[in-house]
Amino acid sequence: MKFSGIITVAGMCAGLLTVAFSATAFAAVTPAPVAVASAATVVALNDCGLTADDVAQIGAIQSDPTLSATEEITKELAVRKQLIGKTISCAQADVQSLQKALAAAPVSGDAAAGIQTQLQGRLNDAAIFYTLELGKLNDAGISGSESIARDILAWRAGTYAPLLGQVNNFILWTGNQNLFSTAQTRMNQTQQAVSFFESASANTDLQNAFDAAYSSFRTAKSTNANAQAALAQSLPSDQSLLLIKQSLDALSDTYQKFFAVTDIIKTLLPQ
Amino acid sequence: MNLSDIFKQFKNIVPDAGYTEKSRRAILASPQTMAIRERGIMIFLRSLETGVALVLAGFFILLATGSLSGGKYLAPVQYSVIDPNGLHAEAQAIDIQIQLANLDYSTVTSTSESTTATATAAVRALIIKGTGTATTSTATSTGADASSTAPAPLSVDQALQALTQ
Repeated sequence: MKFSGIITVAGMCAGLLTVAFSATAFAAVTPAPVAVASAATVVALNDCGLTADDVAQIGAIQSDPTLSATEEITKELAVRKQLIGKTISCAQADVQSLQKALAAAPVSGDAAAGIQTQLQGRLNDAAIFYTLELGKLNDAGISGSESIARDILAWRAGTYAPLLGQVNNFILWTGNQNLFSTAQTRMNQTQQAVSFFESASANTDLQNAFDAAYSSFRTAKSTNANAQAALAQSLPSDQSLLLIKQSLDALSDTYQKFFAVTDIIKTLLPQ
Repeated sequence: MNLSDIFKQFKNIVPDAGYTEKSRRAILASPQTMAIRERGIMIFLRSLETGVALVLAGFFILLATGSLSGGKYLAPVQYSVIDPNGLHAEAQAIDIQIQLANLDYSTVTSTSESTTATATAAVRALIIKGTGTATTSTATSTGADASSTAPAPLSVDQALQALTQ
């Protein structure tokens, strides 16, 4: 009885393995549902709530005839510090929003993770910069506060704006990778189907249509890889963004070629 | 009657017909024993039969899914390559991502272009209001005129620009 049980189990194991293999093969050729790209790619900047009326308070104080010189300076300085402080806090909130969005990006692979870490480090530096500038405000006078505002403005133009572009581009790029994976699965399926039909009866139109789709997809993947390299090297954001857009355009073109292939296949199927 | 006559009469002894039938049925219903060796072979064959049946079932499943190489027919699952709904969904997802990329680009461009102009306009509005001149300010951050009841919010750069003066 023990011996018969062992033989039966061995036979069942062999059968289960083949069932499992076939199930795996079935799952592999069935494309996973496409996740729609996240609409949170462009990080929305926080509304600081400051208006021209707030800034106009300074002018009003300067032209108030009822204030003495000392009172005018004191009041103006207080308003300037309050406004600059509020502006810096708003800018810090922007950095935090970016950090959260970057942390939530669907990163896959060591190279992408490395870029993410690098960008996180630079955002941390930005947060520290704002904290230091806020600290300088405490002991600043009017001209000192103006100088702080100028320094922050210059830093934002020279350092923060490029970083913002690179972070947004990286988040956009990570969102594209799922599309490329899906397209690869689709390409593999299409190749199998085309090979089948070609082996049954050579069809020039079908082969040409497939070759066009394959070439387009190859271009898309190559441009996608170049975009990743541009992000890794911290190239200007307009360059990496251009590569990202070109890769997406090529991917879109690939799918137009897929449609052409399937149209031909439909004509070859038995009616 | 001597003993030899009695023994000869033993040859005529027959069982009762009913008892005979009953015994035959009992014998036929009893488990038939085989030789140990034959029994082992039968058990082995039956077990193997079960295992082989499962393997064949798996084989036919493989065959039906077309996972075997060199298949000479298009398996049902490969029809998914011509699934129009799936293709359209995937293509649409790409289009959405392209729109996001264009939005990103245009947002960065418009922000950088408008920052200097609108920040200067905000400063101009500040000066005009501060001097009490009843002149319509030239622009606020989004180009709304001074008569609008809800002043538009300033961006970080616009606020900083205004506070440098």
